[in-house]
Amino acid sequence: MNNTYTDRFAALATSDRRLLALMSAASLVILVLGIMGGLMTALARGGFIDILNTTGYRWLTLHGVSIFFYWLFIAQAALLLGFAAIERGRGLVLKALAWLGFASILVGFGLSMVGIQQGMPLLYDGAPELARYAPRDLLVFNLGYLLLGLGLMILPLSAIATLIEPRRAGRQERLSAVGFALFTWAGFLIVSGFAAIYTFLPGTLWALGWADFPANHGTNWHIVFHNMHYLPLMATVLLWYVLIHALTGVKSVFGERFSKIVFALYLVFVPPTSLYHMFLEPDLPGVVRVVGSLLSLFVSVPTLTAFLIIVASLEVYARSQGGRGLFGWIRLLPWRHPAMSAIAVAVLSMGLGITFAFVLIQEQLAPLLSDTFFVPGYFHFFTVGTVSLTLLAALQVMLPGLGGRAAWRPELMRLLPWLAFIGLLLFGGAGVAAGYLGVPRRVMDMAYQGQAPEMWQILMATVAIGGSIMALALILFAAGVAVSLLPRRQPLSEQVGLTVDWSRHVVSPGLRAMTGPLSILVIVLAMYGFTIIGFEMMQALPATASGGGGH
Amino acid sequence: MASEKHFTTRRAFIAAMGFGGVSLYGVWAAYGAAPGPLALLGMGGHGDHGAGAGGHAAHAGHGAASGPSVEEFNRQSAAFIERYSLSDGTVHPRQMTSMPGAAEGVMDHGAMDQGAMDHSMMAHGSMAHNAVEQESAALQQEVLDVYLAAGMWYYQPNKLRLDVGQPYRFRMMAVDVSHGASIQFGQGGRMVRLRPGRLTEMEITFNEPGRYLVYCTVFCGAAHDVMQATLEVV
Repeated sequence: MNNTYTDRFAALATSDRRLLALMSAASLVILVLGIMGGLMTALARGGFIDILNTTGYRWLTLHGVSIFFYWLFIAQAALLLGFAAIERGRGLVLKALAWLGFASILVGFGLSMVGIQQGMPLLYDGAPELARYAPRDLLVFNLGYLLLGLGLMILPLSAIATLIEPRRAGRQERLSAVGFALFTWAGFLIVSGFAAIYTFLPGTLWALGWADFPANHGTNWHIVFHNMHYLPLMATVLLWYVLIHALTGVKSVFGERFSKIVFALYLVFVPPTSLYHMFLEPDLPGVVRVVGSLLSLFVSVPTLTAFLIIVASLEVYARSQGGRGLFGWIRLLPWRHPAMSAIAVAVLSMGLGITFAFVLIQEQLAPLLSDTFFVPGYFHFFTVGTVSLTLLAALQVMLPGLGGRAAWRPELMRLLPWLAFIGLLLFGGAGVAAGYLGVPRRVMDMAYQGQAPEMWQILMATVAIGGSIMALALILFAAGVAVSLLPRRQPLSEQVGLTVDWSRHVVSPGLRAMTGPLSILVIVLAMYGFTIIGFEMMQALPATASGGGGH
Repeated sequence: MASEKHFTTRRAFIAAMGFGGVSLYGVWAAYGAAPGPLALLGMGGHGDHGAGAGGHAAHAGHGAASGPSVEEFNRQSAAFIERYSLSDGTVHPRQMTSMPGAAEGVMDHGAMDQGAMDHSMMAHGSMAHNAVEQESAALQQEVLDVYLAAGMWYYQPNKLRLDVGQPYRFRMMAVDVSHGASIQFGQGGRMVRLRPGRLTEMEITFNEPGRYLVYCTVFCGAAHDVMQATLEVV
């Protein structure tokens, strides 16, 4: 099936392939740049390198801006356009908009890089108050984000036009599940672009002297941040859906309509659940905190349901192929393909990420955990383990078709996601433990003149070691993926044998699919466990406190 | 081979399992950190869910009353520091009782300093001591205000001495850009965010003596890393 996808990408017009290849290459370069920023930050915090604090914050800003904004969104845009193009089968429509959007994002990235180099590092949220006396610094920094937002509003229009063209031309009755999900994904990107502009325009206007100081930046940022880091999860599960089809030929056994409903659930459950980022805000009324916590319980519904659809479908197909035992069917999956390893790590990371995210959504644990290293500890399971590795897996499938060169060293590449996972477990495990113990995030030197517990530094050194392993594995994996873009052409037939094709086999009725439900059970039990740890720690504090509200 | 779908491959089962995370609500309710099921349904039960996590009541806002301006807060904070400063620069908020014969209203440094009082000076068992202890116990039930100003890159005061069992109301404000304050107890902490010009209040009673670090939790610029204070609980 991978050949089928590869062939479909290879069959695109040269101009389409050139655009997709350029976007993919840009995203990978930015990914590596962002990883370097993160690596330097982790090494500085871990005490392995000695740099000025301001330099450390600049590295941290580079890390956050590059990864969170540009890598995630350029890679998403490239994959959206690519899969939309092959979904239509005849390439991209309104290609000029795609180029325009990409150009806008690239110029935005350039401005963001300039903004990072000058003045006070603003971290990735660009708080205007830190540039109160240097509005020009904020102006350049914000213009980068505004152009990114503009690009994200323009570029997906090409994908939407591409997806609906067959219907308009009368060649298609309705969108497939994948087409529907791609359509929704494009919509999310447009909304993300608009949200970025909404958040960063007031600061830009203030920096130009055309508006008052944006006092509400913090609130707007939290809402945008929530949606921008949960909506890529929708892209992730969609890509799992597509990639599993590419690697095994398996489609959902629950039907396309059910998949469409689940993809649409992201629209229902993600936007209203942004309140938990604001639980420490002094002006948030108590009732809003409670409602926010309760709403946040639903944030995982679409992701877990989509996960169950994919795993159950895979399991019954694998059992039809002779897979035996509770988990023995997993051995039949196409593990020779690096994308399969990446997806497996992504699924495991998703389980861990959701587990820890659900500790944070309880408003009464916010005073214990919210601004600690618990946050980067948990969200790297999402950003790196789940989303980034899925995007890389998808690029691993798309790029050989675009560049005409077979995937590089699959026997080595398939090990790298697991190496990254080892690093991630060290990073995330130590980070979450550090969070429970109160280690702050966004600090380069957490010794506090000898007043901080010694354990803090040990945990941060572990985070740095884990981060270094993770960084090395990811850079190698990204480089291996990028090799497929090199011009030397090799026969794509080299990729035959990396995948399996179960699409022609009829699924036997009555087969059970226990792995998904058991996974959910484990995740839920882990949520209970880590939440209880939080409550018990709160109870054990040698002080009784209430309040934190503001006037 | 069965001819019907196994229940694990039915849509309803998959959809229900997707809501698995929602069951965490049970843990929250058990710890009193969320309204009980009956309260949610409006059928009684206690609506007071604020006592979760062992008395750590929900940090609800304290109403919409307007707080002091930054200038006013700075004045209050300076008066607080002047009133309770010890000779080593530590600020020790405490109940003060007038010395016999002291003029009413002249409470400052002429007042009996309970915190600085050397307990060895008092003979245990003496009636005078008992009377003072009773008065002291009564006074300790009152909440004492503690002012904490957060600026780039300092807390003022940056060294506080507090008493075990004495309830305090921390009145905090960021006086320039956003800051935060986390009291670290070695294994876990308690934090608040402070927005510029907005008064934030937190009531806290320390149950154990110790020396606790306070640090800023919101990135506030180049010297964010050194923004710290010390609480010495005795």
